[in-house]
Amino acid sequence: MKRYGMHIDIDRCNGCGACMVACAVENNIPPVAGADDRKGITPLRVYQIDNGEAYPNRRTAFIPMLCQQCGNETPCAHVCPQQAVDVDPETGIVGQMAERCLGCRYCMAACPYHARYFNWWDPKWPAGMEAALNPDVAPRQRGVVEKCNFCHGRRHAAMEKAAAAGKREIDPADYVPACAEACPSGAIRFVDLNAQAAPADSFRLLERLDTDPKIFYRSKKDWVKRNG
Amino acid sequence: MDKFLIARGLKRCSTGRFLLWVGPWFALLLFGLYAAGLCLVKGLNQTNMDNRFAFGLWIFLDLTVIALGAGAFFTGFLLYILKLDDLRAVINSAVIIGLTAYSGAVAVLAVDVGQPLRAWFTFWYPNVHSMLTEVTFCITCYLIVLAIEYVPIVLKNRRLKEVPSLLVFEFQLHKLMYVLAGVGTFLSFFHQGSLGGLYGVLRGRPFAFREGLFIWPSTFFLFILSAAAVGPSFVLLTTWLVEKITKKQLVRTEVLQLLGRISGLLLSVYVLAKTVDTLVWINRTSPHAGFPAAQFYGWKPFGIEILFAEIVLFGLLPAAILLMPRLRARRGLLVTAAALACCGVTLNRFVQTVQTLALPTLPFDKFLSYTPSWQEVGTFLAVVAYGVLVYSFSFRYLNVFPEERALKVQPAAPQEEEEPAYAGR
Amino acid sequence: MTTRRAAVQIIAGAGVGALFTPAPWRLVRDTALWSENWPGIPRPKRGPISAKTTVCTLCPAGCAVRARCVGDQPVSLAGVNGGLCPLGVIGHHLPYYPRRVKQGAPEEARAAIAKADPTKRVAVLDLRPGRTASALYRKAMKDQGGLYLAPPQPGASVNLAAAKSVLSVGAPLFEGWLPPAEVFAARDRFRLVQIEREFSRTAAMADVWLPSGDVAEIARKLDGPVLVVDRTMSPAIVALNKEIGGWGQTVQAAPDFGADDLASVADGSIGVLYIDESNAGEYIPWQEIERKLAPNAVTVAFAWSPDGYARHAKFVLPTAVFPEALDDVDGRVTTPLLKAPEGVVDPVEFIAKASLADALKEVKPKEDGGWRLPYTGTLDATASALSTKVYQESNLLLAPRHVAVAPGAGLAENDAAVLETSRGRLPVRVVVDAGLPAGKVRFLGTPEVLDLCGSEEPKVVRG
Repeated sequence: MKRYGMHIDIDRCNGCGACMVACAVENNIPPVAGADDRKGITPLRVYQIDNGEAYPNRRTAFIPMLCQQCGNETPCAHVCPQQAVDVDPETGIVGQMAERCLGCRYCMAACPYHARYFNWWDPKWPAGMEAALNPDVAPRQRGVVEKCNFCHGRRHAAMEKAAAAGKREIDPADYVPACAEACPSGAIRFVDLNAQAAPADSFRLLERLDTDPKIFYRSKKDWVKRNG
Repeated sequence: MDKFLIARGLKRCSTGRFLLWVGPWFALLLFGLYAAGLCLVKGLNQTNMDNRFAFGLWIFLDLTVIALGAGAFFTGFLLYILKLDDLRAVINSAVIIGLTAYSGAVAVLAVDVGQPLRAWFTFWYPNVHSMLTEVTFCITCYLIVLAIEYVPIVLKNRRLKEVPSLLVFEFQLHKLMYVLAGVGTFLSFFHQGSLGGLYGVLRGRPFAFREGLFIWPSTFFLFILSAAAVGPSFVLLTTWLVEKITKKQLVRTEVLQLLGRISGLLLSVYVLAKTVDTLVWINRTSPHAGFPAAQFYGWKPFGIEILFAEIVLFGLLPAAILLMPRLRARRGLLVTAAALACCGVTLNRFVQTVQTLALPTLPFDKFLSYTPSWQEVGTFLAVVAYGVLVYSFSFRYLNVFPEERALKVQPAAPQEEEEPAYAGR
Repeated sequence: MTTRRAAVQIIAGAGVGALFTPAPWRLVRDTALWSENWPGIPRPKRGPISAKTTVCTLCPAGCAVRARCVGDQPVSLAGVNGGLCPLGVIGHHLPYYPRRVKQGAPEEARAAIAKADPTKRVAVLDLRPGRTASALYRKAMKDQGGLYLAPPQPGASVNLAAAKSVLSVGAPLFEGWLPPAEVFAARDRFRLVQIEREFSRTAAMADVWLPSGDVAEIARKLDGPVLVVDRTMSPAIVALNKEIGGWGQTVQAAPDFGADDLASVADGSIGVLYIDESNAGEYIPWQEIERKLAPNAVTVAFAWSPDGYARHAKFVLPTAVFPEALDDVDGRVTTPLLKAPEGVVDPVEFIAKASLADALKEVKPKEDGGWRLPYTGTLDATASALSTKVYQESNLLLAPRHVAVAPGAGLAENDAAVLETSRGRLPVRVVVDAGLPAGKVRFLGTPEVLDLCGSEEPKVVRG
């Protein structure tokens, strides 16, 4: 039994955004011309945080935010009226079934991490770009909620590969989410939390809400830790 | 022209005048249907809701109209179960208000969800942990109950009464009223409560999250109380409004006084419960989640004034007025107090939906604001127009107020009167 | 006799009975299926999955790329030696850029060139010198007595892996200046002191940030081997490196691309100018080029994007774009992953009348020893539709036509403003960045902005 999670080193993130773009490529997320930072779909989103001071005491850092895959009474899973959110006991991944989603957005209200995004528009790609879509992920239509699912498509591909080779366990090198793969600085590391405990000085966001998130952040900077 | 449809002994204005009244509301309904149609065809990007404000004007108004329409179940409970016979004068009106409120809310919900065709999934894959499942089931059942309760009112129409089978059907149906009232009360108890539970269970929103009893957060009970308190007030308000517009006396003063007293009593219980709940939240629930309550009120324009307004201005004040017989006796004060109570419930629903979502949760969140788009406002106005139209037609052709005939007075000379604004339907 | 009662009974009975048949339940289920399969939602093509490797040519870093292909179509790119920059990740979308230059008139261009003034010179402006194609242009120009021009290149190559301390005077070390994955792989081996007025992304990740300082004095005090850099590896910085002993260790001479000096070209002396923008890096403000052109000069731009010199050239001929193009970076040859569309023109064929494919067959990868030439151009990812994720959908990166100002500049977030110089005005949107010192502005140096500014500092005024 696995408990997939991430160790994210805030000190190594330079806010380049390669992870965000890789996520969009992997998950066939439509580019929406009319979207802004409130209506866009960015299952992984890098926020810029700062210490609130003025120049020259201003310090900034970047924090990649994605679905925290809450383990304790997963808020979104509890509130979905038609069980479109599925928490996999084998992996701890919180999956979203876009085909069952009604689009009531109650889960979006329940999520304190703003990790869920709604398809406000019909998906449209520039002419010809549909050819470059990832066949492992189904594009969603408008009116449904989506979020990070740790690149489910890649996990399925890894499972198929293992099955074809007659193995029971997948090879960890075969299952790396797109963001972790794309990050040039190695700030995002995808791990099995059962096999690799988080470094001692890690923190999680909104710990006191008791959601048991699986994304562990670390930073040597005090102001970043206070912000978390 | 349509005299044959109007009940004998009741005076109604001329057909032409009625059409003049109905016309603009019909136009508003068409405009609203167009706005809703845009949202259905082009998608919800037509609204100003976004990933942060997943709930906007529509959900806020749905909750409000359902709370205001609670007069239907509560009046029925008081009349048929507790045998407060004076309320027979307003039960029909309450049922019509309830029916239009609930059917309007359901219609808006059909536009609000991204995939309305999948609405039946909630019945097919229900999630027992989710308050919204409970709301869906209960409201669907209750809408059916309300529709059945409305049928006898329709069947008592002058022309329809002449059809023997319908007369018999209506008579049989009437025997069911007690059962329906009981079922309606039971269903309403749960869905009014679950609507409150929707927000009280959100652990991720410490502003709204409340501890409670067993699986029900305190907001479950607060919503039931506030709905029950405001239901009679809204019935009172609409009765007064209809009396003003039609220039007739439709109910005895004692009935309005009774409605006011009931509302005042429940309102004071609600204010007490809400105060206790707020204190528990400030001192225990919110700090336990890592959010000192005062932090929430630092974001303009959502200052501490809102809490004060909700509990004192729109809660304690109208409760006091409605409980004191001498103040209640003055029509102006009575109606004002009822209106204040309705405003209080509206504000409370707003706080639970829009304010909850506006307040940041992550330490690096920005405080964002939201204004509804014209398509959202238009859709909502369609519900208001729909309610006014159904009520107008019902009032004209059906005997909505049984005491009207007994209280018939000569109407004053017809004058053009400004339409007063509806107190938020 | 069919009474009304019988009719009602039949209808009611049929209604109840129908509920016991699959029909209504199937119909209801069909609504779900229909809602899941709306027309217009594309179905990704399926096919045999393979991995092909190539080299990303979008900047001189030339990161090795592994493309996951479905059949012949690349659907995602990943770095072979670590991650890619955001532009590299969406490289495979560039062929679908909606504003891509698709049509050109090569025959008309050839005719115009044939009629050009023979007393004027021919020139090639190669926006990515150092390639095999560049060598072919140089040879062709030498044979014709023409000019081979290139944008100014950094003054030196650097070897970051060999440094123990790095003193950066405003160089965007972690922002695409050097190949991103290599920089971060080496991060723990060097200590970075960043001297920069603005608190930039690089400053945020540096070990020490100083808004200002005495560069030479600080450099001398650092643990060696020391590498001192600035954005363009200016002569003063190169001299300082020599002084503190880094020459040959952390800094060495930049490769000579054999370009002629644009400043020394006589004004009005160029009659035919070929611009190879198929792989653009740095741009030169157009005014500086224009004054060297003869009055009736024929300018032919080979471009896939309409936003560069295509705005000024007389003829714009479409070219292949990564990953369609055959090209090379530092001796590493690309593997075209897609076929270029109909109508593209091969600039090497057109200008040098040579076969790039043949020339590339002779090329062998070089052992670079860790030396890199920094990239001083801009990273503008807007050609991919998905770049909205990092631009308007998250405001993470500064987008083209946006300007970052310090708070207190009298401008609020999202205000409409104007970038103003003596040459003209460009409408922009405002972003407020508290990491900027008062009075400083930051914007992306896209070709249109370079044309506007030249060497002049623009003013930002309310628009």
